[in-house]
Amino acid sequence: MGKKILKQKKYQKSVSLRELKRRKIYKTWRKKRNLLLILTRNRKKQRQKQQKNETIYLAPEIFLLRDNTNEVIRFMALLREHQPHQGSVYIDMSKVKKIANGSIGMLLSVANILSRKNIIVSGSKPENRDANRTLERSGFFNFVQGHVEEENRFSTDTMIARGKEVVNQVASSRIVMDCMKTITSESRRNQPIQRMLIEMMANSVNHAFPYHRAKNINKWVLAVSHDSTNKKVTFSFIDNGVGIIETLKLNIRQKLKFTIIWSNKELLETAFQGNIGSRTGLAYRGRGLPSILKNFKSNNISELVVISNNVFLDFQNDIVNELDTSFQGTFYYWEISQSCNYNGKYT
Amino acid sequence: MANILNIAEEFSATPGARLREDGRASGQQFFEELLRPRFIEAMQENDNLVILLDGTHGYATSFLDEAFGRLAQEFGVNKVKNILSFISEEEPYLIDEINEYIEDAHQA
Repeated sequence: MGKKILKQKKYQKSVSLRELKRRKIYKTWRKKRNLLLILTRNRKKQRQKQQKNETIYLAPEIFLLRDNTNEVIRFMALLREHQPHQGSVYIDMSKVKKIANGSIGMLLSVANILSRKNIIVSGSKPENRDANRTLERSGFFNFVQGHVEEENRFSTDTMIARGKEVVNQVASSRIVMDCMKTITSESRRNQPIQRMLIEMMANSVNHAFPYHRAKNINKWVLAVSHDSTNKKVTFSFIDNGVGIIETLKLNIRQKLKFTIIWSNKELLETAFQGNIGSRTGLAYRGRGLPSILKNFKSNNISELVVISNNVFLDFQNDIVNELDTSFQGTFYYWEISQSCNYNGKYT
Repeated sequence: MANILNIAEEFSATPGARLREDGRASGQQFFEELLRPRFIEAMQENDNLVILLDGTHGYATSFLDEAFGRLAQEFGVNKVKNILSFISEEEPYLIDEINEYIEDAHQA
């Protein structure tokens, strides 16, 4: 009988301990649930507020700079012209079927510009699975908030950090070594590619923003895509300054004290050929652009495309076009593969 | 014994752009801290200075122009050409390029 009583008391004690524990767990769960409800409600309210004063920009289905240049540039120009009084920006990429690192890099570049103007930028991802995978694997969401599927989190496609005030040749040297590993299976130097990257970074940092010393903004974006099956690497470099043509015109105007009457096409071609000095009589020292073209002519790179202001230059296919819409900035695209000459014997 | 300036070992394996404000290991830094003092030393000792270009990840045109172009502006094209010589097995075209920068220096 005594034992039974003891047991009962013990039993009562453990019940109340168990009950206390249960109540504690329930309280914690309830707290978390309430917090989640508040957050969800706030997000919903925020989104509703945003939608009241929001402009939706529909991205082109073929979101490729090389294949659909005019439409993509027009889209980017529209985005870039968005002003704070127009409210927030919603980039609708749901209908995008094809996208590549070049246009993704340009989009990131433009999104940075909008953020600097304190414009809220949000958007939707492509419904097309391949396009969505390309976007997630590009590293775009390292810089923009968004969910990335587990399978796309680790990728050799690299959206490189954006550059601000300084040239980062140490970072570019590592990128080049990684690229050479894709092509030759060994990490090697490739001096011509490194040279090109330094030139582009330096031009962006020094010349692309001539009217004001723009501090603490991302002046360039580099996107690199590795295709290990075909042993090919593609590069897209975007600077969101005033563009090569505007920079050249400004420099020539400052030195010659008058404006030359050349078409933009002519000016850009002349700059790449290194003939600005001889045609203007100026002691023009710009050697960066000619060295980029030299890399192409020496087959150190292939498929070189340059878009700057309203000119599209495809050196591979010998195409020079004036675009319907101007792109404020400069876009470079090129590839390296096993068919290129490379200084790859040096580790 | 040859008086060699090995850029990759004595300065940087990743030379940068033109000016110090552009970032690390600029042409300006190389010129002020290494190239100019060593050139003066070679000049005073009636010696040659051999510049070893190999071993880096690559040179920007602005780096080379700033370093060697400035040297020629200060000391004269002939003097620089008499004292300097270059070794570049990895990128032989660099030697002609640098000579152009040296020769163009008088126009700047």
